[in-house]
Amino acid sequence: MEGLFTQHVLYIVLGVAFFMYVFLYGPILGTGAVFPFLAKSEEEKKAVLNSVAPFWDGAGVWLIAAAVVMWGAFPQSYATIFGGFFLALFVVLVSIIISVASIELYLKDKERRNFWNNAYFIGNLIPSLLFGVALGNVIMGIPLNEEMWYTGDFFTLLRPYALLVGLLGMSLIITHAMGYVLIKVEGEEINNRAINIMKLSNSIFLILFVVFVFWTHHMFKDLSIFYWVVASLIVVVSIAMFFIKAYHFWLSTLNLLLSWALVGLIQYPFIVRGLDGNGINIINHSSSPVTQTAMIVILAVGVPIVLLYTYYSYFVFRGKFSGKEQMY
Amino acid sequence: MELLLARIHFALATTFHFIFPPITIGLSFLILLFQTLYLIKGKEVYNEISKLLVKILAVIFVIGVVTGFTLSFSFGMYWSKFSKIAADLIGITITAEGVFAFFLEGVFIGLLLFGQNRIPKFMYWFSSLMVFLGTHLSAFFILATNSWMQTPAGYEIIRTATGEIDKVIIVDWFKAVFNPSTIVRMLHTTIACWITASLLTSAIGAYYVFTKKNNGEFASTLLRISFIVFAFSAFAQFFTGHLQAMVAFRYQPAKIAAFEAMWDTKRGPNIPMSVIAIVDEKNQRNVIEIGIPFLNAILYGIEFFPPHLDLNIEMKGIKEFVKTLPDGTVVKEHPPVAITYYTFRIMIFLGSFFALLGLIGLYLIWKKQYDNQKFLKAVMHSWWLPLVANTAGWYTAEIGRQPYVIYGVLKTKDALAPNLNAFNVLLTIVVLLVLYLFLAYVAYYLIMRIIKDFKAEDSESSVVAQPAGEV
Repeated sequence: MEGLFTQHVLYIVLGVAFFMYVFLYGPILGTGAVFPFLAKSEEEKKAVLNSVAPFWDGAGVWLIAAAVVMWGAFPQSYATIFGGFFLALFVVLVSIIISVASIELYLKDKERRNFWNNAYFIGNLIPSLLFGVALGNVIMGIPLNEEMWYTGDFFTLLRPYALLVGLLGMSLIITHAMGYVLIKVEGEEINNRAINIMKLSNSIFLILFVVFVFWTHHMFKDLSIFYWVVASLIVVVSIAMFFIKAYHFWLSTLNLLLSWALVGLIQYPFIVRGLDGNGINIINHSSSPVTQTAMIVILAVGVPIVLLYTYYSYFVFRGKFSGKEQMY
Repeated sequence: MELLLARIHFALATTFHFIFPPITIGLSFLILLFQTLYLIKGKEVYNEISKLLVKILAVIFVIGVVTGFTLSFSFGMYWSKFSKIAADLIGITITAEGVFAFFLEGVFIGLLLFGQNRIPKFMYWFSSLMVFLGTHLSAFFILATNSWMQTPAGYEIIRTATGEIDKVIIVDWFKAVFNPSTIVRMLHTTIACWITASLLTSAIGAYYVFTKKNNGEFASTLLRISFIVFAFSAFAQFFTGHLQAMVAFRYQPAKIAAFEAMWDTKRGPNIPMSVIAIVDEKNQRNVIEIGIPFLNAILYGIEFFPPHLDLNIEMKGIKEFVKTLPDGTVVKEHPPVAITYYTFRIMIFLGSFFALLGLIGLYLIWKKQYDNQKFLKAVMHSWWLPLVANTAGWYTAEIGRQPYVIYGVLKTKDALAPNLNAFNVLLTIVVLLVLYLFLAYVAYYLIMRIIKDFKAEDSESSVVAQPAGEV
């Protein structure tokens, strides 16, 4: 194993932070992305928003956490991605702003309820697609100059493989979110709709994933046996979701975890791949070992406490939410 | 062109963002205060007040968070060179902010907003404590970062083969985080946040007393306690503000010269303090100037630890920071003077007004005459002034650091992303401006409605028990 221990630890931490984000924030992205098809009546819409309202901030911070781990541990990758994917990220930013605002303001701002309704839909639909597109790009490689700065433009990002990863991510997020609806939202009709949407999104995921596995193999011929093992597990879990009547949320969580592991296996040791076999990797483009060690110490002290009170918060707000409940 | 637009974007993004967190931070302090009183004294009125403040906090907080997202994206999108060069420090401080502060406030604010019927009284108080801690820790880490950019310490510069700055590495963590200006900046900014929120809640209390809505114990308690916090914060602010100026005097002399619009170097004991002047930046002079003799020599000649006064100090003038290179080009190593000078004056004048208002108000509260109509009106109509003072103070600090982004290390023009496109930046400015104006309108409208619609549960009986106006 080349490189330093801290570099590998933080590479894994980065993956875990992204996983935690889609695990906890995925329910918001996913319910939003299918909002008009999932929640029809006013009461159902309120129920969905009530079910995410106490959690959105704690969950959203995982994205910030992932971004700062990237910034602090692998600064060049942060600088290149954020500077390079400028317009795409700006669209994501505006989407996040309006969708997060909509969770709090839908219930309060009665005069603009229709606007906030659409904000929750569009504002979550766009990021749940574009996060995957961005990931697809850094996997397949983006044009970089010698100083590792991005040299492409907005349309470079819309290559077919990247779009495939975008759709793949979106279908998995929607599947995950429907599992969340089944355990956190009250109402027979909305639960039935969630099951139907989940069947559809899981089928799409399964088909696209098989295409993804072989396409990726075609691009990088030297993938290890672990790649095939993890990929097969994802297929198994995905198929199992059609037959098992409960635990959908936890099965999709498992699939999210496996998917990030798969991404890590494909990408290692790169964070951002270039087009010519070069790229920003964890060995040559890290911050200093002192900084990396300090980060690991901060995370080792802080994250267990975070997990503890996050658990407490989910424990306090356990059970299903209805639309009748006036939260505050 | 890209540089100018990126700076306009950043000014817009930070100015708008910085309206909200000070209110959040201050409100979290007041909510903790009222929840603590509720826990100790058990009087329902404290809990009712905290309920109102939590409703307002919910709106302010969400706008603060979403506009904060813009900033955490912006460092990478517009200032990626800076992000890369300063990552060794900022990676740590922002990681610590995320892990120790963002999660804390993010999770516990959920409990504060939605949890009162679900958790025991003590856990609810504990949640308010954690939100207080989270918001204040968040302020600490971001201000430590900002302070390091103002007065960098504990670092080494790594250069590329061509002599360009490659990155800054941290060699002494303690010195870097607790650099010369961290503690005083933290004190000054935190107190500014308390002033902001407590004057806002005083104004709400004054509005209820004035219009006789929620009258009786609720309105008077809200006004009285908020105003006492406001007044003492306003007094303390003079002291912390002066400490900050003293740190700047020692470490950023060009900034102090701009604060005073002092073009030529002066020596004590008679260094006047400029009260107001018309700055003629082009000709390097002031057209009209009114000052208080000796005052600056006294203010900057004081040492607190150990107590010591030396009036024979030297204050450098702005002209000392203009250098002519051997090839004839003129390099300005000082910030733009006029804007720094005027924003500093706005902050000082408003701060003085707050202290005066605080003094008058404390007297009226002491005499139990705070239903004085003029006083109530003055408080009601002043709620937005701290926001202006905060922005002016922020501009003073940040523009005063120019032309550097990391003082003495990295110039702002060298911090820009290498592949920025002017049209894209302009596009983001326009979109953000529209979005932000809309959010500001919605937030203002909702908060006004929360204040107007709020019915404290035991206020009716108090109104009957006590004749209105004699609270």
